[in-house]
Amino acid sequence: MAKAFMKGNEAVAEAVIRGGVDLFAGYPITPSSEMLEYASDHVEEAGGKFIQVESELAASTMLAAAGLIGRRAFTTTSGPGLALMTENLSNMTLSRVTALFVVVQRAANNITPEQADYNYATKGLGHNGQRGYVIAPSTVQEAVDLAYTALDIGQELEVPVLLMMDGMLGQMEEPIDLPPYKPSKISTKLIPPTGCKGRQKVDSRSMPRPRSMTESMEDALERARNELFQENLRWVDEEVKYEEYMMDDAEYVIVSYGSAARICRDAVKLLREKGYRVGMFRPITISPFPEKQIAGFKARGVRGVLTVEMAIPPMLHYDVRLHLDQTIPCNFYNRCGGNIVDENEAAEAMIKLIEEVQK
Amino acid sequence: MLKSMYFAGIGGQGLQVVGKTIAAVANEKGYHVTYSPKYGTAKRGGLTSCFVVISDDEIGNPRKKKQDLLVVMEPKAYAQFHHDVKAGGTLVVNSTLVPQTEEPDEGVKQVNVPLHGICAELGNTKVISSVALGAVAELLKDIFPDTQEFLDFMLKQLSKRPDLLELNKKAFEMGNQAMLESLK
Repeated sequence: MAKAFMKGNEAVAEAVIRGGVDLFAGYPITPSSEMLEYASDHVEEAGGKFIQVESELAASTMLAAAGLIGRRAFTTTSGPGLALMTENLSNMTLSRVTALFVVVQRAANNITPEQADYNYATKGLGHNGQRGYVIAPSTVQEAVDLAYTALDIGQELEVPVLLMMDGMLGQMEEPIDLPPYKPSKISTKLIPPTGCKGRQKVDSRSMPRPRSMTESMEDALERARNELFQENLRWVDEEVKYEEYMMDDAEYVIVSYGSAARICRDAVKLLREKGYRVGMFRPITISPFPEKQIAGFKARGVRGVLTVEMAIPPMLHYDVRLHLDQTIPCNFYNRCGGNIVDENEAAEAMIKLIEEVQK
Repeated sequence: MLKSMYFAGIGGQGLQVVGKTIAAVANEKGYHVTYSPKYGTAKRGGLTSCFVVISDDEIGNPRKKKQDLLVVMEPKAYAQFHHDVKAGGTLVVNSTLVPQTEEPDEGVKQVNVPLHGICAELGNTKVISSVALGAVAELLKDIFPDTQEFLDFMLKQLSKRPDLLELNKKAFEMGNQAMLESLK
């Protein structure tokens, strides 16, 4: 039987619904609006609630509320809308409340595709410096697979999940296999901030109280922050996801993510045809970042790294630069404004880097 | 096998329908295929285009820079994109709206088809997508030997509007015929 042929945005909405979800609350913005439209037709059919709200702030508030009672909710937006959702994201990261935010990235002040929200999503979710769980698919099928389990991971790790699409991936259509329906589930991990009927009143998570007469407010906060930080560090060890493509004997590596990475796959093929030993490393989680794997490039004999994204200024580039051995040259090839990276240009940039290294 | 296509014109010229139909038929035949639309803020009248890539293998870039098949519907699209065809590729020009063209690039075959002229004959510009699809189908015979497959798919899509079936069928066939004439 032929595969389903669906638009990225619609496929993601369908995958979240199939993964089990109780609420969609959202406000339209190009290039994400098809997801809202699709959700309006199908969330309620699957037993959830659909609300088109009056603003992004309202959407994120409803997601936070759903998360607080252990329910599963999702929304979709793009850069400018994400900015407006930050108020709640800030508190959600700190209170460890989960919900799924699908961010279909676009160029600032245009509706064309770009990977513009990397820093925002990986580093800027809150005034408190906390991290979300941020995943970036590079094909529509992968977007479906990640969206299907995103809320499971969110509930397990107790963190907001951001699925980073971009305008190209959201709008394009590709054949996909859809997973089976599974029921939504209520998080049993969640500790209600003020206690619930029949349950003992427990500590607030964003504002922890001293545990003893000798623990000060300051110490209590510091303890809670440290616990959460240790949890973030554990994610770096245990929760990172990445893909390696032709990396076994690679001396030169392209690091790219999301839809730029699917184009770099072609660049690797072009370079291999010319006899260059090039591979690609693709972070699937961009927070937690696969920093240990990138630090390990040196020991694997990597001699040069090229990062590729659809964003200027570069953002992924500096994360790679931070963790990569400082003696390894690291260049970037980026396009932005709605201009898509090109496999031939990426290959040229890599050849230039290889020539620099071999000089 | 890898075939990259680009359809460029302005909103309302049926390009998204043409691209989507080709992509959906390719999917039904089990090919790897991507369809990637590109449009501005204006629904009708703004520049709009779409890319279709069909391959036996996994597809990386869904928006190739150089095309095996490029269809331009109007002068601005012609001016902007007519160099984006690979050597050995085909450039289809809607000669009703783009009467004046330069010499095509080396190795590029240019075919002029009066797509909107056919619509005028039929007395309905809304069937432009069916006309264009019929014309383009003739150029895809290496992948889809039977142009009927496109017509069948399109008519299936239109099944809720039986009143439009006959008109669109005719439009498809006239588009196809016009392409055959132009290729002579």
